[in-house]
Amino acid sequence: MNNTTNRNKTDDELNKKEDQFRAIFESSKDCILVWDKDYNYLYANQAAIDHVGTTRDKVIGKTIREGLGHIPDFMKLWMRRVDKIFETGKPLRVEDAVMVGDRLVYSESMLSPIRDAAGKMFAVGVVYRDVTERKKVELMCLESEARYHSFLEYLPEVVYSVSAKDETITFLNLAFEKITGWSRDEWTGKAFLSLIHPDDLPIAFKTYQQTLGGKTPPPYELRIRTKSGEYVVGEFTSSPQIEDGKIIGEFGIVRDITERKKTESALRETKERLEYILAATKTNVDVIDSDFNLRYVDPAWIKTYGEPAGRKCYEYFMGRDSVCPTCGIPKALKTKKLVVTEEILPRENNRVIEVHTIPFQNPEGDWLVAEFNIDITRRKKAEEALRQSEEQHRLTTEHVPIHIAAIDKSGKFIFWNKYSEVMFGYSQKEAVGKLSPYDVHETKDEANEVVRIAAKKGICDKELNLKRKDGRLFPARLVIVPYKNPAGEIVSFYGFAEDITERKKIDQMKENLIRDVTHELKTPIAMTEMAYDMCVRAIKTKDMRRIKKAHNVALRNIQRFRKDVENVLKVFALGHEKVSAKETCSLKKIVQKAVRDIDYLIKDNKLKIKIDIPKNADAVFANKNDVSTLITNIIDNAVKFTKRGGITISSRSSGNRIIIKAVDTGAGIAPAAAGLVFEKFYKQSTSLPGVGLGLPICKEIVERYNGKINVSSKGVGKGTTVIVTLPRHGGKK
Amino acid sequence: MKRILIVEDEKDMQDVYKELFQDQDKYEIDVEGGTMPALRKVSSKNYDLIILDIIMEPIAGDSFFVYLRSDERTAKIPVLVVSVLGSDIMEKLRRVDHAHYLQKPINKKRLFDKLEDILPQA
Repeated sequence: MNNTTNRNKTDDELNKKEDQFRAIFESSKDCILVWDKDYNYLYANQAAIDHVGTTRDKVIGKTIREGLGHIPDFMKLWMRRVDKIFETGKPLRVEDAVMVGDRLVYSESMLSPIRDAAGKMFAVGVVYRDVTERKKVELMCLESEARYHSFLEYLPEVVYSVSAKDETITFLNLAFEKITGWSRDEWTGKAFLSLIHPDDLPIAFKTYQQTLGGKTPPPYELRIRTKSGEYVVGEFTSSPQIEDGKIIGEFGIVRDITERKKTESALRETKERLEYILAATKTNVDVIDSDFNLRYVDPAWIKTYGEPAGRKCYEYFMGRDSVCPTCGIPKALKTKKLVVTEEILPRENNRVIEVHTIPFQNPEGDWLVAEFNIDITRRKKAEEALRQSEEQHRLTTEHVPIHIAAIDKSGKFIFWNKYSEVMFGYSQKEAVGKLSPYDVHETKDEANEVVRIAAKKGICDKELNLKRKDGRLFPARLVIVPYKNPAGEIVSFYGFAEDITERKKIDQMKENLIRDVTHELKTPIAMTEMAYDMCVRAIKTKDMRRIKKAHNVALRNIQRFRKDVENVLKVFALGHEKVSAKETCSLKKIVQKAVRDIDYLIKDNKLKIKIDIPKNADAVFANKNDVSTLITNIIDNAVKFTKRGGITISSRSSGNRIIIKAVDTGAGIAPAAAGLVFEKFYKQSTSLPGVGLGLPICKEIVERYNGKINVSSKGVGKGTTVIVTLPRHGGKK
Repeated sequence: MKRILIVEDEKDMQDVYKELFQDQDKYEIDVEGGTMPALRKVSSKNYDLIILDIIMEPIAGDSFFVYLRSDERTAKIPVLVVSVLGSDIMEKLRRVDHAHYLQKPINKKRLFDKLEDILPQA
C-alpha cells in the first residue's frame, strides 16, 4: 500500500506543477521518466514511451518489468542503476548502446534522485536522449581517422607532429623507426630539435616559427640524427596542425634524400673536378645547338663572357652578328664526326684555342655539339719559336762561310748551303738530289772512308783534298757527323768543310821559313867545322894548297855567319832601338868597305864593281852604323844575285837628299814576288845564302830618316835596281 | 869501285866533298851543282848512290825524289841526304824507299862509315 501512497504523493506533487511542465516534458525529444524504488513507472513522457517501442498504458502504473522486460539485460542494468542512485543519492551519467529489435540504439542518460519536501529520496528521474544518429556520425569519423592513421603509419616518408606548447614530438610513424633506427617510444614526448644536426638548427627553428605562425614554408632540408650517430638528410614539408581553429603544433612529412644527396654531390663533385681539370689545362667547354644557341658554358668562361642563356655563340664569344667563317659546328653536325678548328679569342688577349667540336644527340633527340676548347697559345708560341729558330738556323747554315751539306740514305745531297756554291762551284740546283760525295772528293774510297768513320765513331774530322766543279783540288778540313732519328738510326750525314788553302800556305811558309833560317844559320857553322877537319888532315900531309883552301872556306863561312846573326839581331832590335847619334859620313868610304868585305864572292864570279859617287853626293847625315848596314845589305844582295856581269853603285844629290842607286845585272825579280821583297824572312830562292832579312832591314833604316827605298826589276834574269834616298849633309831638315 | 853522284850547289861544300874523296880507291864521284843537271846525269850513267843536299834549286831536294823514283832505271838507287836540318827531314825521308840521312857537319869517318853501311863492299 505504500506503493499507492507514494504514487499518490507524487501525483500530488506533480499535479501541482503539471500545468507548468507537462507541456514541456511531453514535447521534449529527450525521454523523461521516473522510477520509484520498486521500479514502478511514476512518469514517462511520450518520447520515452516511443523510445522503447511501447504504449502509454503498458508503462504508466506498471513496473520496469513491463516496460523493459523485452530487453532483459538492459532492464537488469537499469534496475542496478536505480538501486545505485537510491544507495548513493548522487546523480549518474551513463551511455548505452542497446539493440532494440534489429536496431542498435545509442543513448545518453542522466539519472537524478528525486526527493520529497522533507528531503527524502523517493524516486529516480531519468532523462535520456537517443544519440544513435550522433553516434553513427561519430563512429564514421573515428573509422575515417583510423584509416587515415593507418595510411600515415605505413607511409614510406616519416610523418611527425610537434606540439606547439612545448616543442615535443607528439606523433611519429613507422617510417621513423626504419629510417633512424630509433623506436618511436624513445622520441615521442621528447624535444624535436634534439633530433636535428646542430648546424641545421637555424633552419629548423625558422621553419618551425613559420608553421606556428600559420604559414607553410617551402620544402627545406634538415639532417636528422640516427641511432648509429650518422645523419640522414631529410627533405621536410611542414604545415601548421590545426584543431578547432587553433594551431596546436607542426605537422610534417620528411623524405629521406640521403641517397639522392649523395648522388647529387657525387655528380657535382665530378662536374667540379672536371671543370677544375679543364680550367687547369686552360680548356673550356661549351655546348651549342644547331642554331648556335649556347646551351652550356663552363664557369671560367661565364666569368669572362657573362651568362650565356639566350645568346648565340658567335655573338657571345666574338661579338659578331653572324656565324664565324671558320666555325666547325655546321660540318660537325653534317658529318656527325669530330671537327677540329682553330680560333683566336679577341676578348682574351688573342688567346689561341684549338676547338674540338663533337656532335652528340641529347635524350630529346636534338643534335648538339660539345666543344672542347684547348688552349694552344703556348704550343703556338713554341711553334713560332721553333719556326724562328729554324729560320735562324737556316739563315746561319745558308750563309755561314763554310760548306754545309747533308746526304740521306740514297747518298745524294739533300742539303747544300749557299757557301757550298762558292767553294765547289756547284749551285744548289745542281747539287741537291743530283750530286753525291763522290763528286767532291778526290777519290771514291776517301768519300766512303770519311762516312764510315763518322758512322762508327760519331764524328770524322779530317784534313784532305776536295774537288771543285772545275776539277781543281783544294785542301780542306772536313767534319762529318751522322744525324740520328729518335730511334737511334742514322738517317743522314752532315758535312762541314772549310777551305784551308790559305792556312796551308801560311803553314807552308812558316815551315819553309823555319827550315830556311835554320839551314842558313847552321850551314856556315857546319862548313867551318868541315873546313877545320879538312885543315887538320892537310896539316898532317903538309899540303899547303889544301890548308889555304880550308882556311878560305872557314873564313868565308865565319863572315857569312856573322852577317846572318847581325841581321837577325837587328830585326829583333829594330823598332826598339833609338836613332843613335847622327853624323856626317862619307858614302863613298862606306861603299868601298862593303865591297871589300864581300870581295871573295865578287872574285868567284868575276864581277865588275863600279862606284860612281861624286863629291857633292857623298856626305850623308845619319848614323854611321845605320848607313853601313844599309849599304852592306844592298851590295850583298846585289853580289848574291849576280853570277855574271857587274854592279854599279852611284849617288846624286837632290835638294836636301842624296839619292843612292845600286844597279846589278843579276837574277832580277819575278813580277809576282815584287811586293814580297820587303817581307821579313822572304827569300826568292831558298838555296841562296842569307836569312831573308836584308831588304826589310834596309826599309826600316831608310824610313827612320824619312827616306825612301824602291826595288825594281824588269823581270827574272834582267837585273835589279835599288834606289834609296837619305838626308844630305847640310841639307835642311 | 862504286859510283857516287854528289848533288850539291854550294861551292865550298863541293870543295869539301872533293877533298874528302881524295886519296881513296873505293868510290868514284861526280859532282853536280843543281838538280836538273843531276837528273840528266842519272839517266845517262849508272850510279850506286846519290848524295843529296836537301835544299836546292830549281827543284827542291825533296821533289827530286819524285823524279828519281818515277823512272824505273833510277827508282832503286839509294840516296843519302846530307843536310844541317834535323828531325823534320828525317821524318819525311822515312816515307821514301832507299833513303838515308846524315846530318851536317860531316867528317871523313862519319861519311865513310855511312857509305859502308849503305854500300857494303863485296
